[in-house]
Amino acid sequence: MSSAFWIWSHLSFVLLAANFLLLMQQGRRGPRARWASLSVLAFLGLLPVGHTDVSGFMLAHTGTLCVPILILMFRELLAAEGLVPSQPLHIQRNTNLFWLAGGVLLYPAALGFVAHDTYYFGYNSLMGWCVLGLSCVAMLCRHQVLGICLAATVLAHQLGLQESPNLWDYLIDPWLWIAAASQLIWMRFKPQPQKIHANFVTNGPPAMAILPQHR
Amino acid sequence: MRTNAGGAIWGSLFTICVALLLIDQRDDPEFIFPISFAAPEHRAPDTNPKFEAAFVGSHAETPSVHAGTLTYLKNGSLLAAWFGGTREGAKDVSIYFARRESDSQQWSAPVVVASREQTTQELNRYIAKLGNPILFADSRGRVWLFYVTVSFGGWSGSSITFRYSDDDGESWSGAERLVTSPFLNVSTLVKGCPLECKSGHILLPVYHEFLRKCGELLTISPDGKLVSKTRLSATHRAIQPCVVPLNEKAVRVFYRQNGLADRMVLTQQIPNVFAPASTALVATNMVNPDAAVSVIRRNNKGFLMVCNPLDSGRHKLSLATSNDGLSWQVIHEIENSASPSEFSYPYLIQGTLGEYHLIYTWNRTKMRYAFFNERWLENAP
Repeated sequence: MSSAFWIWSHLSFVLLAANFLLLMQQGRRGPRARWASLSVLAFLGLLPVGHTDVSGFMLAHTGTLCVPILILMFRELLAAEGLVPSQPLHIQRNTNLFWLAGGVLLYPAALGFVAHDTYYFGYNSLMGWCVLGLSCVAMLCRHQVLGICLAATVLAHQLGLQESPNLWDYLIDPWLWIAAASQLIWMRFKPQPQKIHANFVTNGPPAMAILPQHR
Repeated sequence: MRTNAGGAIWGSLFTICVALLLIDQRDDPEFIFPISFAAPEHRAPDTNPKFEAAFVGSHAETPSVHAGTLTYLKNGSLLAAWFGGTREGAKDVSIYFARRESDSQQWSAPVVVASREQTTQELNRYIAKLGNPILFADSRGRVWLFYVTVSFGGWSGSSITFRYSDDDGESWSGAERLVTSPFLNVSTLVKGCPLECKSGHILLPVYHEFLRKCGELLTISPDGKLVSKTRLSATHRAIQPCVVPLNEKAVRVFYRQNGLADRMVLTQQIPNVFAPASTALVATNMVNPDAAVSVIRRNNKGFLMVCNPLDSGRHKLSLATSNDGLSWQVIHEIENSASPSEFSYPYLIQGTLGEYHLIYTWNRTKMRYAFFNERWLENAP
């Protein structure tokens, strides 16, 4: 196993665990505590479990994580520190739609539900050019994070940083697909902040709004 | 606005740099062609009918053994591998290995060539169990061992790991993983005998078992990198493809049919395995109790198959022959016993002098080896 794969597995574990903690804490902890927990996680990933370590154990169950999910998780950590701005909602939605479409194109065919296997194209360098072209389109449309994710995917593939020679494995994984789908569903059904604010101003909090007006 | 413009400029520069890396890369699949195809007429004639059978080593430490594989070395020796442990899928299952020297013609004591613990350590990822091995000696003298590893779940969670030896199995490289599926790399298994191309690339028949069953062909470079994966068939619950070369591009593939009723050995002919068009699977006249078959070319006489010619059970193991791959006739019975017995997972290869070598699971407790020649086949009762 090369050192690049080893670094990839530890980086995946630290970023995944740190984002999970971030989600659980919802910004209740200060930056110092967050950096301390990141250091603890980096150490935890190296602890031995059986004949491997914690990150190797996790990787056996999650599979190798793709490039965009690592970039997006890293960006979330930076955003929590206020080092990068959050993306506008419409860009988040478009980006999630992109990953969702990628998964729909790949997984049913790769799992044998469609006769032609789209995974096959990931071995061809033409797909690298296509992804790079999409990266340019994303940049032009001001979806810089998506553009960077796509270009970094092609770069990582060219450098052979993962075990797989297939570009699809660098581009998307089931966790990114599930995360994109979940976020789209959440964005569709979550309460709209502006509307709640407007209702609150006119009628008070939702619990008060259902009370009879003459009281 | 300034931040957006800055991001766009840096992003564009990054994209241009990546594009520069891509410029020199071209795909040239032609260099893989063609399949090494030994013409049958070059084989030496047999003299007397020969048939020998023996158990491979002792299995005192492994009550359960299965999935044998053989390969023939240039010096005439044979190597065999199989998995063994307390039971199939147990954590103590390892891949065992034995050698049969050409002069002594005796099988050596089995040794562990890959264990779960060792594979976990070398891959730096947790491995729950090991399964089907495949041995293959290429024309440069490198011996490859492909075997199934599972991190979670049943056999549908399998992926393929390999190691190789440059000294005829005396020492082995570290384990390396083949990534063959975008969905957590699960559900790729091996059973069939690989082929070699004149470029040194290996064509490894594999199959997919998760949700849908289909046969696939992996192209592996001489240094062990996966170059391409081609789907052979995505219908009929066809698994464990056995690929037989017809010429330098065309192959005929035989499948075990997985399912509940009307099970027959399935086959398809692919005119150009390097540019596969989806060709239809057809049923042969050979019944198949959802059990593995092994098929090779027979000298000037079509195909030779080892199979369980039964509707259910695996208590009979037979040799069958066919001219076209569709219509089969049983010519010899290798094993025939009462129903609880099991003679299964045959693996048949041909030596350079035209002789045949077979290994199969004997009642799940031992690996049995059989050797026979063309003259013995011709003397069919």
